[in-house]
Amino acid sequence: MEEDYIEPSLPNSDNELEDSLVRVSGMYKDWFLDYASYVILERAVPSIEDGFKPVQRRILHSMKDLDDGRFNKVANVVGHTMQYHPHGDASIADAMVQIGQKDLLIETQGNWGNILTGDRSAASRYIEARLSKFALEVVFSPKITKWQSSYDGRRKEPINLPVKFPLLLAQGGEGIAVGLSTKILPHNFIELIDSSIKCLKDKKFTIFPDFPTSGIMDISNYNDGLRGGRIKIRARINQLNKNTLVISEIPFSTTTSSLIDSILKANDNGKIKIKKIEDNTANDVEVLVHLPSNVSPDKTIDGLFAFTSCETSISPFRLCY
Amino acid sequence: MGAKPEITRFKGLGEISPNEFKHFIGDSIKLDPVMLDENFSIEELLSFYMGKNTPDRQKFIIDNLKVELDRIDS
Repeated sequence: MEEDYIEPSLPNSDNELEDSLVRVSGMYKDWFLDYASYVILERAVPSIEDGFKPVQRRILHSMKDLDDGRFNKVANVVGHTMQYHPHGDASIADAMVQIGQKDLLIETQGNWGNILTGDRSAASRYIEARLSKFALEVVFSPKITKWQSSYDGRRKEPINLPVKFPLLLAQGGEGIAVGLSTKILPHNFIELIDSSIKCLKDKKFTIFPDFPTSGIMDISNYNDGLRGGRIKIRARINQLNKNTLVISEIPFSTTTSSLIDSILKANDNGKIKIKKIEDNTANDVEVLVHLPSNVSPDKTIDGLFAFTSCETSISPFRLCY
Repeated sequence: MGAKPEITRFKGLGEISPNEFKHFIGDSIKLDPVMLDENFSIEELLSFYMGKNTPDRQKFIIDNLKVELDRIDS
């Protein structure tokens, strides 16, 4: 069947045929590399220059376009961002909410959700945003920005933003591309400033991750964040009285609702025994674990670390292009 | 094409109008022949691109990454 189709249009000599045909293996290689490169460069992996994935850079660039010092509706910023980023509006809005929740580059107004409980933000037509003073000071500098044409050639957008701060280490980042993925943990703002000063003065420094959810971190296997390194993070659990434990900090990557789910599961499996669990979290974490009167609080604390996500292990792997 | 052709993009079915789509499947359909070498194994190809050889594949991608930039000098 193949032959029937090919023959009329093909040259006769074998040599010419070799030149004019791409075999399946070559086609597959090209498509695979096109796709892998696209996902890595245009979607999932942050740039080491400014710490942004394209969607984040385009959101920030759009907010600068629109900036007049007043709040803009997120839905409007998302629409503007689509001039540079021809993809789903909902995923752009989610990306913007995530930047807003990190509380560094975007000043927020309205219900932006809660990273502690995992509650989602209000819809993008309700919430508003403007660039923070920090972002205006640190992220933009048109004179030294290199530009590229937007996808349809109508506008220009920055190739990278000339960020004057190790933003990627502050915010962290995560992405699953093709053939590779990345997980970069967040770090403490003040420690980053101190380390940057030391770095600029050519002095030695060490820096470890730090988390907006607090918690207690074991860095004995961190291995300087190199491949194979691993950290353990524990919730902060105290005994309130002889029948009650209170969780006041949670491990990074958990929320009080996912944490409570894991505790209820351990209870159902008979690993620990609890009577009732209560989530009073709003601005601060407060999860009350009520115990039956015949159960030891100390043993329950050990059980919570052993069998629930009150202890969580994370392997960071830095990868940027 | 005239002096100023308008270039559009077809990322998915939603970006193609019906009267454009008919050219994809009608007489003017554009086909590329698919050629398999005699001594070529599809199984090997697929296991390289989708198998459990993550480190090899990762190195292959990093070594062959295709970068396209439409720079504007200002």
